Amino acid sequence: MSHAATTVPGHDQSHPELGFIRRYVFSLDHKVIGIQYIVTGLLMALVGAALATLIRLQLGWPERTWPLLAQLLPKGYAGGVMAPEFYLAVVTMHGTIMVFFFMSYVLVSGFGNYLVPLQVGARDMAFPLANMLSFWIGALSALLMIASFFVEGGAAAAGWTAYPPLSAVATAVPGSGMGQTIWLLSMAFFIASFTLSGLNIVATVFSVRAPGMSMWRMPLTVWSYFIASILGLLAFPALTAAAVMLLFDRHAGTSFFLPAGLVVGGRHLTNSGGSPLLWQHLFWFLGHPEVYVLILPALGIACDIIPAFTRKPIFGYRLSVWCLVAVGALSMVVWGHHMFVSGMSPFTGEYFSIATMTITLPMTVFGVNMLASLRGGAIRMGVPMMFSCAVLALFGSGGLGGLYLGNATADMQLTDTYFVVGHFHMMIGGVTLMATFGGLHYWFPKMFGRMMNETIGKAHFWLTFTPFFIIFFMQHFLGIQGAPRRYYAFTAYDFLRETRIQNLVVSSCAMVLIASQSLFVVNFVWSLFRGAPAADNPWEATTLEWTTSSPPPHDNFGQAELTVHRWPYEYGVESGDRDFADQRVPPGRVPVTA
Amino acid sequence: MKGVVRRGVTMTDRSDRFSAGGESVRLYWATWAALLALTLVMLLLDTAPVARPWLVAVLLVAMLAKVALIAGNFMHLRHAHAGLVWTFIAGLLITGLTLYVLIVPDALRIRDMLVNR
Amino acid sequence: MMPVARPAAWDGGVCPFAAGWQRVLMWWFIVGDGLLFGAFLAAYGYARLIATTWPDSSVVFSLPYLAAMTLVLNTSSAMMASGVAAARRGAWPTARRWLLATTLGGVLFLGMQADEWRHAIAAGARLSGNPWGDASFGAYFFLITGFHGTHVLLGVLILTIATARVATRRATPLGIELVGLYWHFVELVWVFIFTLFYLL
Repeated sequence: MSHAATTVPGHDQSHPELGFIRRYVFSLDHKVIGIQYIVTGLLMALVGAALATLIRLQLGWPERTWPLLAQLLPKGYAGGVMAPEFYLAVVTMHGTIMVFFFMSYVLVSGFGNYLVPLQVGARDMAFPLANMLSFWIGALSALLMIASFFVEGGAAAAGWTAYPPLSAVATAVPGSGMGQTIWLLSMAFFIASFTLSGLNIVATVFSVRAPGMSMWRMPLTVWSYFIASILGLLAFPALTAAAVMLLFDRHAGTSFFLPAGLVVGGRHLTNSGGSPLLWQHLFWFLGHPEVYVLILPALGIACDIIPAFTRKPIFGYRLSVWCLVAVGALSMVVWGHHMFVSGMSPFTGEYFSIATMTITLPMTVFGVNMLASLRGGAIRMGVPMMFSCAVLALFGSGGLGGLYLGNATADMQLTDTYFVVGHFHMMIGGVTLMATFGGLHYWFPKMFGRMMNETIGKAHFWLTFTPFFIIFFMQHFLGIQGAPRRYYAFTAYDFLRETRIQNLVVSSCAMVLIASQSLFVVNFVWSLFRGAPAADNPWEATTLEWTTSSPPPHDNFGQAELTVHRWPYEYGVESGDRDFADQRVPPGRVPVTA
Repeated sequence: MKGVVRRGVTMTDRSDRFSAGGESVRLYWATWAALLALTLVMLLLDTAPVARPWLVAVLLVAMLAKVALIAGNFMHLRHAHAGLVWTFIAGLLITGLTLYVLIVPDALRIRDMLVNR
Repeated sequence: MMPVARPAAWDGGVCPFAAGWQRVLMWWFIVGDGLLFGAFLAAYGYARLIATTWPDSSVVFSLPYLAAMTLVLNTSSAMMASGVAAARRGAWPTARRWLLATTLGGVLFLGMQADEWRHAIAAGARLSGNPWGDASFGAYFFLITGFHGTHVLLGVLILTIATARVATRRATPLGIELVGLYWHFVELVWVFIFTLFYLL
């Protein structure tokens, strides 16, 4: 794991030997920052998974008491029974942590920071200081979010969407108190952190690429991070504005989101003139692009893993790029499909339905391109490839549910049911999770100079993918039966009693899924210290990060001059004893395809 | 070499080409005068007996003219690559407008409900 | 697939925008920060359509005073542009004088805005209500002008640092230009607020 060991002594004047703190804690190196983000995100994932456990225990075995949990969480589990307010807080925090602090940190900021400069042939991010700030603001944001569990009233309970009035009136539920304020502050820090890192990625891709690395020679991973970062930069300000206004509503007596005539807890509120619908618009103006911010990098990563394991170029590279661009543009103008039952204007409802259906086109083309990339390949079934296939499987089956939800007529029936829960867990939960694991297995050798264990990896894959698919596939059917999401005790409703056995199966699978993640933790930690030493290019891949040492030196490519001669998918070519040519191989040795 | 790649400041930079002599300073103060004139026209119109739709239209056009003057002359966008200009137009103006246009129907609906209650 | 990639403006190293990362990053920051105001103004436009009793802002605020505020910011912006031009041709003493004048313009604008707030508060405007009409009017007034004022304040701080760096010969033309971009952006936002909040 030593960086210094791989560099040529004395060649690197711009990066003098740094102490431990400057090298691993307050580091300016994009690779260290990327790993810091990934580790933080994985730790937050453990918190999110613990919250998921509580949710599934409640839904799977609603009549049981939990004496152990009563000791651990005396307020949430008074007498061993989960308190309804605590359930709401748990659901809220599970969503917030998984979306913003796991997926965003690991997949977008983590891999984004690690990969983008390496893959475009830059020595670092454009603005390393801002990058370091980004991580530390992000770490503060994560700490704040965790801290909100321990304040008076507990964590926020208004859902990860924080809809007013539940989030705006401090007396609405216990979680609407201090917990909600901290939630908002934490989100503000998160946005600042994401903005710094997004600005860096955009500027790096635009202006710090290596000579010869034209935009059309960038790997799809870089394209996906580039577009995701632009989406984030354009969409997040709306949530910043909304969060500021909500803070004013909560603490300064304004009524931005509070209409006249509200009665909370038997008390008539004096607010007037606001509209909760405004929050929904501002939130989803961010919220919808945000899911693409998460899913595009997942697809990009899968697109870079697949060619290395099929030994043939990705199918339809340029078309795929244009699909990403189209999806990015469309994702900015379809947010209203989250609000079909909010009482929105039927005219905009119609528009949002049609625009949402339009997204299906580029996304389907992209998916078919990925499928076509498998055809005729000499597939090596390594662990990263298995997870990439899982990305495809979930993308296809999860995307199907989106067709129903994007259509206002069907959505009226399905909204706020488990159909929605199943759908988005397959997409921004599953596609991203599978890509995260695939990416971790794929780039682990580059990050730490050691291989992860294949056998444990495969066991972990099957014990993750199978229960995951069962859980969220079944939740679609729970939704069709009318089971509403966020309900604490479905046993209280006659029409939901017969879903008992389904919930039991889902909960059991969830326990298997969560427990089997220990395999990954063991594999990760064990491989970090005891894994087989990795070669520079263990997967025989073509992108630039594989042309440098594992792990790369501080300036990524050492003293060697870096020129890019070809596109990133030069597989299946004659190159001595190899069947690929990395992007630095000059045209004289292997003909350039693109 | 490494420094060049890392910092990226020695790259061809079209906006560096604009003349930095007295001529451009004259342009800035001409811009200043134009902005001032537009401001005064807008304020006068606001107090003049102009029909509301016309007033709104003229004010919005004048606003966009001021935006173009500031972005084009003060912020040198007229010398910049078309991509940067579109970053500004599409990223800021069109995105902001999209947000507003798509929430207006809901506001009108709520107003109708409040008025007809 | 194209047989050979065209080594054109989109080639590596040279950005498609033909601008170094500092300028690109600054412009994207401006777009993002501008959208923050975009969201505030969109919300204001939404609230205004809902409101049944939105006051006529040209009655509530003094238009000559508003013209003076705009003049101050406008002049400050033109002085900034002149300062950037001076820095580019290496005339650092001239640049320092322009920057100092720009900073003073910013301070003057802040003072005028504080006075406007004082008047509004004295007349009974609060975040929760105001004597002229819909409660949201006062809330949006303080929110939007307050956020703009915060940006002016930040700009004044940045300008002070930049002036000091010019005086101690540590500034670069590019650095001054980036400061200028931010300061012009602050005026740009004021153009929107001036039209959409004060006049319409």
